[in-house]
Amino acid sequence: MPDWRKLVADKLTGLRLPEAQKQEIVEELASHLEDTFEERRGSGLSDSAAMNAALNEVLDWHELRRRIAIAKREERPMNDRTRKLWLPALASVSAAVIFQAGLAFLSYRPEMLFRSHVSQWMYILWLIAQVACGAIGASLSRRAGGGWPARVGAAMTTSTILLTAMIAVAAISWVVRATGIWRPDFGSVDMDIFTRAIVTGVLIPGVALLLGALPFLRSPEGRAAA
Amino acid sequence: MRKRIRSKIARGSAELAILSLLSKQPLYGFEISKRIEEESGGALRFNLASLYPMLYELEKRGWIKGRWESNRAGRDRRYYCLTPAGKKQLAPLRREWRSFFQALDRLAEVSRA
Repeated sequence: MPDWRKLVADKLTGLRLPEAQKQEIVEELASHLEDTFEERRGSGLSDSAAMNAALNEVLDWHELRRRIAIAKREERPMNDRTRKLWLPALASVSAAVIFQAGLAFLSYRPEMLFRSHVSQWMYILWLIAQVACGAIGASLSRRAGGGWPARVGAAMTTSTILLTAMIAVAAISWVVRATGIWRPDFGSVDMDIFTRAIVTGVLIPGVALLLGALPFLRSPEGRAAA
Repeated sequence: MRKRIRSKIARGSAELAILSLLSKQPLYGFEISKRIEEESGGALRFNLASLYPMLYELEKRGWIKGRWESNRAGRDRRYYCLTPAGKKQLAPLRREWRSFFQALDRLAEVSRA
């Protein structure tokens, strides 16, 4: 009977993995070959025929080495997160930015909010676009195999970014004033304006984004595996 | 393109076969390949080269976990068992394949052929 362990170790030379991990793989594959050999011999094959049967378990050791290296490489968690969360989130935010730019091109200005009839319609149009942006993020995440937290996360990125930016601006403004580093001419940030900005710029669009994501939060049961 | 579809189907079916088997009991690699061959009536067969990269891939995803144990003959074997994450994956995977075969059956009347 051949030394299966040595045979596998020789064949896997060049497999770039930590030594302990490599030894474990060698041990496991050698056991499999040995079991195959024993089983074939037990079924009446001669030693050489059983050995050939065992060796035929792997026709291309180079390909096996390559596939093991890919399977063992520790990159999937990051790739998965990128595929399931960050890329769908980027697509959703990009769609929101493109639509916002389109509205700006059509003379939309934030200061027009609540001041004219036109600005209200623009705002409603923007909210409707947020539904589509949420749907884009959640659907892409679902397509990549993301669970519901990733789908919600991807859909809500625009609101998350806006909320973070608003809180950061308010905090910096407060620190600047409190420490007396700089006293700008335009007065302090009004709490009422800040609250209104949060409601109209983050909460309501957030609900719209979530609405868009809702149809994609269920698992795709009706879809084929291939 | 055809090769890619075929390889996707093979890969998906292999995942389902392995997860289904491990949902019943922990098994080591050789046992997994034997059981798949036996329980599929010889229609499915995994050799060493196709089985282990798949096992390592499933382990990396956190769907299965391998640990060394001695079998009845006192030999060390790496037994694989399904993790809670793997259990969670199995139900939707089964549904997907069921609907895939139903769709194929409607299209090609495979079950009546």
